[in-house]
Amino acid sequence: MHILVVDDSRAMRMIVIRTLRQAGFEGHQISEAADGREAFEAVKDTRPDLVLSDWNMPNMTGIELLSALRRSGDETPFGFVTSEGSAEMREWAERAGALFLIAKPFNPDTFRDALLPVMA
Amino acid sequence: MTLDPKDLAEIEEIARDVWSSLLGLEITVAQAPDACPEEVVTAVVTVSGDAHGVVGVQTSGAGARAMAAAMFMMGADEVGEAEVADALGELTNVVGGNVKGLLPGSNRLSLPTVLDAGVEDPRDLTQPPLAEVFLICDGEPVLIALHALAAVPSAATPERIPS
Repeated sequence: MHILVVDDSRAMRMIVIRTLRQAGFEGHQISEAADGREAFEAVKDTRPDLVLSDWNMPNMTGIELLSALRRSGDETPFGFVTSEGSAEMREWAERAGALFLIAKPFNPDTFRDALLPVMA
Repeated sequence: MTLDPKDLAEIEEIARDVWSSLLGLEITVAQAPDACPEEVVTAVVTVSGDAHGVVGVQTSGAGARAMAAAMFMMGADEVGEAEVADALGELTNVVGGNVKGLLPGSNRLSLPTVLDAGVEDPRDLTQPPLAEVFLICDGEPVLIALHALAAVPSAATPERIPS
């Protein structure tokens, strides 16, 4: 499986990738993008099987990325990993077509719970 | 914008969770330090919407380097300014996102800004903080503060003409 990790923080991309491994999701191809715009191009070019995206990023936010992908007819499975986990944000994410929203801070169990149904 | 006193305990809990899960470091509540560290690094995020304020995380230069080193899994002497800014900005973003959840109404969070040492915070922080939590991580002080900002007048609000 190919997973695209999108976050404007290089530190957070490292932590997400590390947590994926700690959660038992090893041996997958992981690529990275630093904002929504870069991720949009990466999805079109490299066809990942799953996008794990931050919400709040410069140039193009995570929710703008998800909307742009769906508008273009792209149905790549998409989940958020974001610092804001309010009911309002979760509802917004779900309405836009996200499969899950993992709120930061997180741990490997949180990743397992959210990703296992998607990766099965 | 108001904050319930029990929210202070929530902010302490947020800090413990964030430092533990993102850095693998323990952070504990401490007394306000007697003196400000010589080198200070501050990052802020703005909350705007029904509430209007700034969440800031401030630590010493050594504290910021230690946190960046933990986040990037590098030695403290190996981290540069980019790693420090990224790490402190992201910590502030996560703390801010969680503190935003304590505030009433619908709000947006800005991207984090890391303020250079010696450069004054451009925001108006003259009001006393709504909440201020002093912590200590690996012997270095950490301050998390929430300041209310004056609401930005809406375009629909006519300016008062001085008589």
